[in-house]
Amino acid sequence: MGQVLETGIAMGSLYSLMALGMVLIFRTTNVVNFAQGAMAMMSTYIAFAFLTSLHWPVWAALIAAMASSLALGALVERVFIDHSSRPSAPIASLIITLGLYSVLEGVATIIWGANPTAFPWTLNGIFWHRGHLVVSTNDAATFAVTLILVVGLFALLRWTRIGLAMRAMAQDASTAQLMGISLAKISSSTWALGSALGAVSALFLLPITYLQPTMMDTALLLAFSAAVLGGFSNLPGTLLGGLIVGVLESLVGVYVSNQLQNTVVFALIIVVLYLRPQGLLGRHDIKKV
Amino acid sequence: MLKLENVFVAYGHIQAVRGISLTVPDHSVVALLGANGAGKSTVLRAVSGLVKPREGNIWYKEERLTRLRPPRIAALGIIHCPEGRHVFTDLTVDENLIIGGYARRDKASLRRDRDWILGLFPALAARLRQRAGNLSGGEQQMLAIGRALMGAPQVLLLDEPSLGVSPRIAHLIAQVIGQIRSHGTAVLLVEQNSAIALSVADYAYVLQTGQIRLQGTAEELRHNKEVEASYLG
Repeated sequence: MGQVLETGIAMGSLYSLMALGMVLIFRTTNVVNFAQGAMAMMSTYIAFAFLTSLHWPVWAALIAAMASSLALGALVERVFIDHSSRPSAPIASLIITLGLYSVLEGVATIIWGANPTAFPWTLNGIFWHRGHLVVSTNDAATFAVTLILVVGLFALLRWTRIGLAMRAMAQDASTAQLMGISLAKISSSTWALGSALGAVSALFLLPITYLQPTMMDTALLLAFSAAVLGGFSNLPGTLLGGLIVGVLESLVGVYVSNQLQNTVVFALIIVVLYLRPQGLLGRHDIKKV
Repeated sequence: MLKLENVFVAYGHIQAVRGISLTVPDHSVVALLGANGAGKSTVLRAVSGLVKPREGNIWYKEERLTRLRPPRIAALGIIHCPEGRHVFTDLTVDENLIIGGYARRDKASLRRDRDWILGLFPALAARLRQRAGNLSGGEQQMLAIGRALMGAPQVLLLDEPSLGVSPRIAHLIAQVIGQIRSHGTAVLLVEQNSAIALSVADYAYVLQTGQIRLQGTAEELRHNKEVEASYLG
């Protein structure tokens, strides 16, 4: 049981990171980024390319992957997202992210092929164990990195200039402009940050998914579910949603059936949304007139 | 000096503003009066860049505002305090004020302005850590004005500050507008409540269906029966 929970929390942390990226992007720019998984996948392939073709050391390849994920996020925002105030703009952007999702997977397949490949470098070994409970090094690193990123993200939003601007833009973009905030800058920074959170998630998922163009498909669905569970614009709710999804997936996999993992997760989400349409920690805003 | 020359603004096929020219001299309070839908707010939105005029020019000193985006215009010191307050309800009162000074880097004068603003609105000073969404309507209006002042406006575009607040708060806001002017800031004030507006303004324009119907010093317009008539359409 302890082991099942440990695995669930580790997976859940990674879904949370993906989902936090999506929610961050959605709150600020009103776009659900369905390409979140595919963009993250591209970053792991970039790390792979730096390691195998250019023979960079691991740390340098990982930094390159992170830098490329930041750049890719900003680039996608600049090039593809419809910034006009036309009523159809959010829908257009949504379709674009769906399109981008399949285009990126296609591009990766053309360049690297569709076969699952083991990433040439992994965090092997056991970090800690007692009795039957084993925490692998990869899981320990997952916990540490998730904790650092989540605390960092909340600190950024709470105490920095750019974080404050992101929150202001999330609430009322038009008024934020009147305060001298450049929506273009904040929007692309948000996409860069959201994309990078996805890339971290993908790097830690590698030992399970292997390197392949579709590696993030399931994670995307589960992260999306986590975000919905959290209310889709609530960051603590999203974090909680990810952990719940991860633990549930792990429990169902062990005690029910591997095949039913996603089914049960989605069934639970339907039930939760029926009971709490605003999500777990979401709240109805009362507008004062 | 802020100057509008023959400005036309349309939303789709609806002509909201049809050929308006007006000036806001430095250190003055200029009121834009008129009924609902006369185009008053649209004039402010055109100045701050939220809508682009179809025709005409808007100048601030030597700068042509019609070519600039809203954040650039705000950085020039033309700050728009929008109708309906639009405070960031999820942010604290303090954070709303910080956002108001977002474009400024001059820490010392920022702190001076903040002290001055909290002096104008002591109610805000007592609620700095509260979510702005928990403030009353009147307090939110004070916050919206305070936030705009944090941008160190040369020209403050103030849209319907007395809308939906108690007479006591409306009176306080009228006093504050006077203090803002003494502070060296020009104010372009949009109001439906002409009595309040004319009590603080130096000069006023009365708008009707997107055009200027009347203009004159506040003193002249206070006694003009046509001002009342223009509200009835």
